Amino acid sequence: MKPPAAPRFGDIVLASAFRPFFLLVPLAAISAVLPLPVIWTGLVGSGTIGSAAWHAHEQVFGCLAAAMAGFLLTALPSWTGTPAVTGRPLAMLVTVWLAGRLAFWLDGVLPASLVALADLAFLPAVFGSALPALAKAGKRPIDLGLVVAGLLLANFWFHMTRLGALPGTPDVAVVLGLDLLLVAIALALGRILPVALGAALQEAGLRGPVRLSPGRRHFAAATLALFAAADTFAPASPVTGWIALAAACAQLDRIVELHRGAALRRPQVLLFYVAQAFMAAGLAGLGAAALGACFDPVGLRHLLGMGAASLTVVTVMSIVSLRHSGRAFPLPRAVWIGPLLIIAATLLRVAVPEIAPEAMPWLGVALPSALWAAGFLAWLVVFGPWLVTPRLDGKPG
Amino acid sequence: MIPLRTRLAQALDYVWGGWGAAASLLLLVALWEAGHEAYGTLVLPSPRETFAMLWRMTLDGRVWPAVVETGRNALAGFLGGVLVGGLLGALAGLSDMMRRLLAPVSTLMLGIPAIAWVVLSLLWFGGSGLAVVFTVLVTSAPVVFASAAEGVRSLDGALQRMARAFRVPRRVLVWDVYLPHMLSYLFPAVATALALSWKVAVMTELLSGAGGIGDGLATARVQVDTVKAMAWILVVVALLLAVEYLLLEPLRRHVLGWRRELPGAETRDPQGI
Amino acid sequence: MSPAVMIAQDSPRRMSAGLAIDAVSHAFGPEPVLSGLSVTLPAAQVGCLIGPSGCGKSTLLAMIGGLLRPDQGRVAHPFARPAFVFQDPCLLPWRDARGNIAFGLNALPMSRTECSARADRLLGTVGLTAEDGEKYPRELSGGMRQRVALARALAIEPDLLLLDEPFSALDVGLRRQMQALVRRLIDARGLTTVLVTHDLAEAVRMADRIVVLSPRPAHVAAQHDIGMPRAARDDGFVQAEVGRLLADPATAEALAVEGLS
Ligand SMILES: Nc1ncnc2c1ncn2[C@@H]1O[C@H](COP(=O)(O)OP(=O)(O)OP(=O)(O)O)[C@@H](O)[C@H]1O
Ligand SMILES: [Mg+2]
Repeated sequence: MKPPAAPRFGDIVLASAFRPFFLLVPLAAISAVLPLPVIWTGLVGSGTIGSAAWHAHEQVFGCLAAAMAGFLLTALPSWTGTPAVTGRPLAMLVTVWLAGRLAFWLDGVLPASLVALADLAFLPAVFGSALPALAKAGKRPIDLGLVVAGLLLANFWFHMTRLGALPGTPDVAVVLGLDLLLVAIALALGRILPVALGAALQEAGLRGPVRLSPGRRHFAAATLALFAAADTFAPASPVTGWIALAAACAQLDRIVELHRGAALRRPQVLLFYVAQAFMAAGLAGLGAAALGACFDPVGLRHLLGMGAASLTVVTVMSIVSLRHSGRAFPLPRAVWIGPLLIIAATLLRVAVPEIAPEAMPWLGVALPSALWAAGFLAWLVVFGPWLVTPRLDGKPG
Repeated sequence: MIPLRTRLAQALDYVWGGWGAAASLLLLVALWEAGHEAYGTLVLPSPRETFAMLWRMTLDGRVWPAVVETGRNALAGFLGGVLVGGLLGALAGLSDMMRRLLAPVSTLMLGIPAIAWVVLSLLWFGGSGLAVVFTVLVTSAPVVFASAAEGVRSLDGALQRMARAFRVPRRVLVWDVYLPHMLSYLFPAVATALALSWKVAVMTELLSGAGGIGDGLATARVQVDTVKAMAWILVVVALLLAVEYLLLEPLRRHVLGWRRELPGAETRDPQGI
Repeated sequence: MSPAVMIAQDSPRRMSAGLAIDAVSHAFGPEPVLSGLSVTLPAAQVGCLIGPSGCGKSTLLAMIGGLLRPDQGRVAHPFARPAFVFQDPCLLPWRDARGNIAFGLNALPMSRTECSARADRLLGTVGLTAEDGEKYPRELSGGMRQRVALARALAIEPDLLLLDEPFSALDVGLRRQMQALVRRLIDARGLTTVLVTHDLAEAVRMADRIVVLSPRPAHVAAQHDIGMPRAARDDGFVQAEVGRLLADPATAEALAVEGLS
C-alpha cells in the first residue's frame, strides 16, 4: 500500500460548499463595484445597460447569492444529517456560478438571452442541491427553501423584464431579490445567533441560558416578507411605507435579546447587532420616504444591502469558516478589520447623498467602493488560509 | 434586594419591548391606510390626515382639556368602583351571610349592559359629569367584587397555617402572606376594571354630552367629520395604550413577577450551524 | 399567642423536659381521627410516627406544633421554637427560594444581612446552588421544593423539629444524603425531632423511638426503642431491625403487611 498522499488543493477546497464559495464572495463583491467609480466620476461613458441595475444585480444575485449558497449547502446538510455537496458536483456548481458572472461581464457582447440563460442556471442548481435536505421532513429549513425559491423567481423576473417578456423593470426585480435576502437573513439568524451568543457569553464569562424567542424571530421575518411583497407590488405607496416602519420596529424588537452585557461586545454578536440596526434604519428610512420624507431611496437601499445584508454575510462567513474548519471560538481579533471597512463604506455611501450630493462621485462612490473592496480583501486575507487548508480536527468537510 | 443594575436592565428590556408593540400597531396603520386607499376619506381618512388633524386639535387646545375631563370622570368612577367592589367583596369573603346576600346581586349587576346604565344615569343625573362617574362605578364594581371575595375567602389556607407555625409577627403575615395573595386575585380584576372605565366613560360622555372625549366624538359625528372622529378615536386609543403599557403592565410585572413562565420554555433547542 | 405556648406553659415539668402526648382524642367530623393516643418522647431524641395513610399522623404533628388544639387530652412540651416541614412544602409562591428559606427568620430579632447570610448558607447545606436561590417555587422541582422547606425549618435553629415526610420526593441518593444531614444536625444540637414517615427502613435509620399508629381512629399500636447509636447503624443493621419489627404482630397488623410475615 502507498502511504497516504498529502491532500491536493482541489480536494481540500471542494471538501465543503462554504470553502469555494466563501473564497469567491470577496472577489465577486469587489468585481461588482469595479466599474462604478469609473462610470460615476465620468472618466468613461456609462455602459450599455443600466449601470445601477447591473451593479445591484451583481451584488445581490452574484455576490450575496454565492455567500448564501456556501452557507446553505454547508449548514442544511449538517442540520438535517443529509449528505453534503462536495467534490465534482460542487465544482460544477461553482462553474455554473462563474459562468453567470462571466456572462454578466460580457453583457452587451453576448446576446441578452444567453446572458440570462447563464445567470439563471445558478439558483436552480443551488435549490436542486439543497433539495435532499429540504425534503427531509420534520426539520424546519423549509422556510429558507421557500426564500431561495423566491430569489430564483426574482432573478427570473429580472431577466424577463430585460428581455421584454414580462412587465416591470429590472430595478424592481433586483430590489425584490434584496428584500428576500433580508428575509433569509432574518430566518438564518435564528440558527446562527444561539451559537454566536452562547460563545460570546462564555467568552465574556457570563452565565445564564441563551434565550432567543422564536416568536420574535418569526415576527421579524414575517414583517420583512410582507415588506418584500408590498415593496414589489406597490413600491411608492404609503401602505408600503407603514409596513416598512413596522418591519423596522420588528427588527429592533428582536435585538433586545442580544443585550447581554459584555457578551454584546464580542464580534460575533456586536457585528450582527450593528447589521440589525442598519437594517432597521434602512427600513425606517424607506418607510419615511414612502410617507413623504425626502430621503434618497437609493442610499437607503445601500443601507440595507451593504449595512444589513453584507455585514451579516461577512460575519456569518467568519463564524462558518471558523467552525467548519474545525476551530473553536473566539474569533481572531483581525475579524474586526473587514467589517469595519464595510461599515465605513456604508456610512459614506448613505450619508454623502444626503449631506453633500455634489461630492457624490468621489466621496459617495469611489471612496466607498475602495473601502468596500479593501474590507473584503481583508476578510480574504484573514480567513482565506482556513478555506484552503484541511480541517484542523481531521473530520471531513 | 435586586441590584439597581439588574433593575435598570429590566427596565430597558421593558421599554425596548415597545418596538414589538409598535411593529404590530404600525401594521394595523398599514391596513388602515389600505382601507383609506380603497374607500376614500369620507369613509376612512388616511392615517397621516388623522395625525395631522390630531396635532392641529392639540395645538388649538381642544384635546388636553377633554382628556383631563374624561380622565377625571373615569378615574373617579373607577376608584369608587374598586373601593365599593373591594369592600363589599371583602365582606362577602369574610362572612358567609354577606356572601349569600351580595353574590347574586353582583352577578346581576355584571349582567346589566353598560349602555343600560348610561340610560339610567342620564335620567337620574342629567348630562353632568356625575352621570359618567356613576356609570363607571356601577360597571366596574362587580368586576372587582367577585375576585375580592374569592381572595379573602382563600386567605385562610395552608400558607397562613405555615406562617402561624413559624410564629412570624403580624406585620409579616399581612405584608408577605395576605397582601401578595390578595394582589394575585385583585390585580387582574382591577386592571380589567380600569380598562373598562375608559371605554364606559367615553360612551357615557358621547350620549350625555357631558364634555370630554366622548363629547368631541359626538360633535364630529354631527358635523359628519370623519377625520375629526378618527382623531378623537386615536386619543382614546392612545390613552388606553398608555394606561396599559406605562401603568398596568409594569405594575403587573412588579407585583406578579413570581408568576413568570419557566425560563426557556418558549425557546426551541437550536441545532447550531 | 399560639396554643402551643399555652400548652407548654401549663404543663407539668416532670417528664424529663421532653414531649408528652397524653390521652389525646380528636375528630374533624363525626368520625374520630385520634382516639386516646398517648406517647412520650424524651428531649434530644428522635421519634418516628409510622402508620397507614390517613390515620392521623399529620394531624398529630399539627397538635405537637401548636397549630391544632386537641378535642380531649393534652400535648405538653417545653420547647419554645418548633419548626415544621409540612407534607406539602407550603412555600410562598411570590418569594424566591432564598426568600422562602429566610421567611421564618422574620420572627427572630435579626438584621437583614444576617438573614440573607444564613439563607445562603442553608441553600448550600441542602444542596441547592445560588442560582436555585433566585428561582420561584413554580420553577423548582418537587424535590427542590422539599429541600427549601427543610432549609426554612432549619434556618430558625429550632429546638423542636417536626418533619412530615420530608424526604418523600427525593431520589434514593439524595434521600440518604438529606437523612444523613438531618441526623448530623440532630446529634450535634441535641434536637428533639418528630418524623412522620411511611418507610420503616427510614424510621429505623433515624429514630430512637418508633411509634406505630393503628388505622383510623389512631392509637398507638406498638412502640419500639432502638438503642444502637445512629452513627453505628449500617445497612445490615437496618435490614435486620426492619425484619425484627415486622415480626411483631401488632406492628405488622397496623402496617397491613401480615401477608409478608
Ligand atoms: N382539616 C381537616 N378537615 C377535615 N378532615 C381532616 C382535616 N385534616 C385531616 N382530616 C382527616 O383526618 C384524617 C387524618 O388525616 P392526616 O392528614 O392526619 O393523615 P396522615 O396520617 O397524615 O395521612 P398520610 O400518611 O396520607 O399523610 C384523614 O381521614 C383526613 O381526611
Ligand atoms: Mg400526612
